[in-house]
Amino acid sequence: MDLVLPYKDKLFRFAKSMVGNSFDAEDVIQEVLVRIWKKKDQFVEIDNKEAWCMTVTRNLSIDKIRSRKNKDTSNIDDYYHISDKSASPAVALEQKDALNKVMEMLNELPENQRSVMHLRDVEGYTYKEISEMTDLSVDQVKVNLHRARKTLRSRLMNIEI
Amino acid sequence: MNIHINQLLEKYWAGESSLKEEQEIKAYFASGNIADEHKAIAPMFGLFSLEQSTQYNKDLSSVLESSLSGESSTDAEAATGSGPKIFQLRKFILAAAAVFAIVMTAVIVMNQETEIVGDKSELAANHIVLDGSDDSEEALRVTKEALAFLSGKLKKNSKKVNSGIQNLDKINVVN
Repeated sequence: MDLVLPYKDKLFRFAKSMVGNSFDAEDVIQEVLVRIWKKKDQFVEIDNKEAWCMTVTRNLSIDKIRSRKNKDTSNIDDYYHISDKSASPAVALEQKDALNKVMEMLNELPENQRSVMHLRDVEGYTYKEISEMTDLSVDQVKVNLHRARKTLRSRLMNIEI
Repeated sequence: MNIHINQLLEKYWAGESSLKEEQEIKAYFASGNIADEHKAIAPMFGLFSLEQSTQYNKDLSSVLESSLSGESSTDAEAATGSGPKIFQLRKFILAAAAVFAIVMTAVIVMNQETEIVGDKSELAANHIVLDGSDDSEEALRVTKEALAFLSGKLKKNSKKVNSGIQNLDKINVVN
């Protein structure tokens, strides 16, 4: 499991952004670990382990989403405990509301757009790396990213697309 | 400063910004010194920053151990004769039986078709000989052969019909 250790946080964040909550994301990570364990001989041979793990995480997250009837969405309370504690309660509430709105917007994005945006804007991967992780071409990655950002921009600034 | 950030943001929205430029944008929004015109989009970068700091705090080895022990107990359950494996075997047997029945039906139907086609081609061959003949005696002989063939078939089938009628009569007597 030492081989997975460097990416564990990224895998968890990616799973969480896909499935929408920590509980299901933990399940996904558990399944990823079992899959790696079962294919440990092959896993050692893989050149880009990080990309492989991210791809497996993405596929298992999609399975998880499809297996449940109602799609859960992330709640900012999952994140907010690590937010700025120095803000006054009123400001903190305002910040929380704003973040919640953005999270709702992100959850409404199509699956490909959401995952591409997470991999780029949160994890900082290159287009090529995202392409390897998502089975999309580099052009498709760019298009998905452009559409996701355009949607968020218009909604945040109340612009008609 | 704002002009520079606006240029970077335009590239960002178009999906044309580099990772370095995106880092610059994130640093601007993290600084807290944000221009009024950018305040509406600040929460988006705030959320990205929050997500970046999320960590997975569980121990990977213990998570794997617990899930593997859960799997092995399921295997043991299946091996003792209960659970999903039996159900899968039953499904497999049913599927195999259905496939066998379909194949057998297809073979029987094909055999019957071949017999009918054979009879038809025999008649057709006689017909062709009759058409091509100039000799009236030869034509008579071929016609007789054809009629004999037909009467043979008729006898054979009428026997079957008669035996069927007899069976029906027997049933009527019993009733």
